Amino acid sequence: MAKKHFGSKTINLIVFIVLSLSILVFILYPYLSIFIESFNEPGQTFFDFFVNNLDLTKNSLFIAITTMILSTVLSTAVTLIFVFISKKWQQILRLILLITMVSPPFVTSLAYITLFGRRGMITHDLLQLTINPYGPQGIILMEALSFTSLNALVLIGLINQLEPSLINSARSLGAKVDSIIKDIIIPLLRPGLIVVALISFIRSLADFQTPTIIGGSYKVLASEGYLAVISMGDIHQAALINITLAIPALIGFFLYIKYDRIVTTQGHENSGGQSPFPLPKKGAFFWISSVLSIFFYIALILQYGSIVLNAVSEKFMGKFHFSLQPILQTGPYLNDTILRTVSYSIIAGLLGSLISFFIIYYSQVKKNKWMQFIEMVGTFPYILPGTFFGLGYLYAFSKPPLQITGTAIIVVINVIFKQVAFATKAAKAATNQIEPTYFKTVHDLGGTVVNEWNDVFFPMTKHGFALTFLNGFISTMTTIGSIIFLVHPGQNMMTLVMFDVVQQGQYQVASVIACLIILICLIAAGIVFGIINLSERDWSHVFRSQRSNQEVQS
Amino acid sequence: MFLEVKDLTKKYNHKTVLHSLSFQVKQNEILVVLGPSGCGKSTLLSCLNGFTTTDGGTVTLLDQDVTSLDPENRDITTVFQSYSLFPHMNVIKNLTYGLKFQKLSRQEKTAKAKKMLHLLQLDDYANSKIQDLSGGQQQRVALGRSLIVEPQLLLLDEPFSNLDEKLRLKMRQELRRLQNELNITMIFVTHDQQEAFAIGDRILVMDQGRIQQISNGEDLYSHPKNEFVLKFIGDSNQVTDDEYIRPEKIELTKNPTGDGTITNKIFQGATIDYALDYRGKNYQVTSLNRGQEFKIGDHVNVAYRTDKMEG
Repeated sequence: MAKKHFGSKTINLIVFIVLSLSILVFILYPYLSIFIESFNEPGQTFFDFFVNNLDLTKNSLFIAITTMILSTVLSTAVTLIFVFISKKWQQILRLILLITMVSPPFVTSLAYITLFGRRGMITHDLLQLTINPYGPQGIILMEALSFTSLNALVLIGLINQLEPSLINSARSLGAKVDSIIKDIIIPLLRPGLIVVALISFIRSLADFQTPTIIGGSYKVLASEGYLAVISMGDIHQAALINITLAIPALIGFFLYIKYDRIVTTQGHENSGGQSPFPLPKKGAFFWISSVLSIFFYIALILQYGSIVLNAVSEKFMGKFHFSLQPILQTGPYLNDTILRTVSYSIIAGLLGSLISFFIIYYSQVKKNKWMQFIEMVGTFPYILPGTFFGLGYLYAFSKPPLQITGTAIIVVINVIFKQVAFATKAAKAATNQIEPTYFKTVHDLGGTVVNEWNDVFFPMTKHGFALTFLNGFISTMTTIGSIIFLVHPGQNMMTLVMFDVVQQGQYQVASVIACLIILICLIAAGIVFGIINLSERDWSHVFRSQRSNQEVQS
Repeated sequence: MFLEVKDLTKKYNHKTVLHSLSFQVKQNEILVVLGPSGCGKSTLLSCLNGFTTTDGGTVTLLDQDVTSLDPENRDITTVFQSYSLFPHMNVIKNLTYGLKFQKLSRQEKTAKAKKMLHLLQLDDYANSKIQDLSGGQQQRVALGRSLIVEPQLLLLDEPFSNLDEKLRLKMRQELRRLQNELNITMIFVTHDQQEAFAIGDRILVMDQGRIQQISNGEDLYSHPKNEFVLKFIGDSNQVTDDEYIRPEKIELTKNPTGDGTITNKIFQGATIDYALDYRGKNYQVTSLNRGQEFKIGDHVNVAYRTDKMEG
């Protein structure tokens, strides 16, 4: 018996060490490199840079704060509509929101230019105007629009977790719709609203594409950091800019952790009472959120409609005609890029999920303190701008002992480890569904750690694993910030090609690529959900009977 | 001795939850560990099956010191309160899970599984999904999964607390039947004294991480060693520090000039509970319902005998 356990213990130890080392080397070390090297390198000091470029910081904060407010208001409106509409409509709108999550982050800006730009379909063709759309107002509007889908999905998730009896009892006590929203729903959503606001703030700070595409002469930290590397090759300058960016991002993140914990612990199961929704369609909240939501969905339709239109038409004598020309035109830009992007995304989704689930096994199931630290390190790429992570890789891996810049492997490693931040969160949620005695049962009956993985951990989290994979796949398909400095000519990724052609003004080619990316992501989602549904079994019965009986260890 | 626990101590963050417990379990015996929630009974169980490390003392099973063995290396299995049946495996796979780790041929495994299914009266359910079973059937599969590996000692952690009243009574009988057929030694944890009386050969009463008394049910009820045991098991009227009267030991007879007065009455079916005011003190009285009831305000003669605690 002891012999058999020796094998299991060895595997256990190897997995533990490999996990720890890989996270330290591929996440912690790159970040440390930026700080160490940028303070040691000759040239401008951080303080000088900061003082001389106060305007950049001011601009970034201005954009981030206004975007945060606008997007939070908009997503609250989009969310509140859900308490007024039927289940069927909820599903349709949710699906629309989900679909908009699978597009590259700067699709909104692309649509904005094609609609409202100097030669825009609406401003120029329809209204015969030639106005300058570039500047901070465009950045704020586009970022707010593109962050709203995710924000609304987070908030809708919370709405669905509300205890029905709270709202039902308020109504039976005579509360009108407006009071229910004001007195119950909004206060209960408050931690969620704060989380959503902070996510928007952090994302806006890190976003360099929107300001680059539609910022015009308006400069922010993120776009300058990007240009410093790409057009000036000044890595030192880029590092200073990214460190400046990291400060508000870190502050935002610490607040985020605090409130996110409230959000996740608040999510108790509801007691299965009668669903209180839909509420009667009246009251100020209903009308305000209806108007804002309609504006939002029209914007979405315009956005995706214009991109699809751009991708399959040609303008001839001021009129649009169906044409395959844009698609044919795109061919030379892509070559083998599609295959490469899809393969990287599959690898990143699989390995990123696997690493994350193993981390969570040790940190959650085994309550290992060291692995909880590793898990925390793994969330860094979530907090700090993507370009910061990419820059860290440039610093860390451009010299021995690990000299891998310029290779394809550095891009793959980067996208794998960038997943860990989100994937560990998803893995945690999946793991929390498993009652701890399952793991004990394996040992109790004579099994080992490896049996825990084979017989309990992976089989019982397989749905969560599939969803984590899908998320990793989609986010790699649409990622740009962390790899933009790492990818070398000849190894391009689809988003990067798209970003390039947008900047060259090739909007039709960009639209074709955007459609392709969305299409690939949707197909992947279809496959993953198909597989999940095929293997669907109703375990809820088993899980529920158990969770209600957990006794606190006495 | 079959199982010997000696000076078992467990601390969580400097708080001692088990205070140097010592007791023994004989072969083929069912020992019930009874106590209120938070008394340390689950921790005691975790020390026995190996999921919690101890801070002192020893656990000896069949003369082998198992105190520091890993759970998978102890000849002890546990039925957890939540059953923990694997939802992705059917009944037979769940039952035979522990046999995976024993060197047995396929035929031997199948034979054992068949025998166990029969013993559990689940012959027709071999290929059923776990989620298609009723609560009582799930409970039996969980029991069978722990029994099939033929452990020296079976631990049960409040295994019937998820079942309804009727099913719980049935499962108690079932457990005794299995025990008779398999001759297995068990430690059964519960907070339900009726369950303890029904199942246990001996009962270990625990509170605040200390053993209060170990004995059979009758003895615990008739000769409680201390106030905790007295109050925890059954109802009582405490007369002095070490004297008490059980409510059913007070006899009432109707007498308009008697010095007891009925102040309240709760009908229980087979019995009736009265609140009695007697010489300025309140007493709880339980009478059999034999068609001779008292009304609130009735005067009665009171006869009783006090018992003494033997601490």
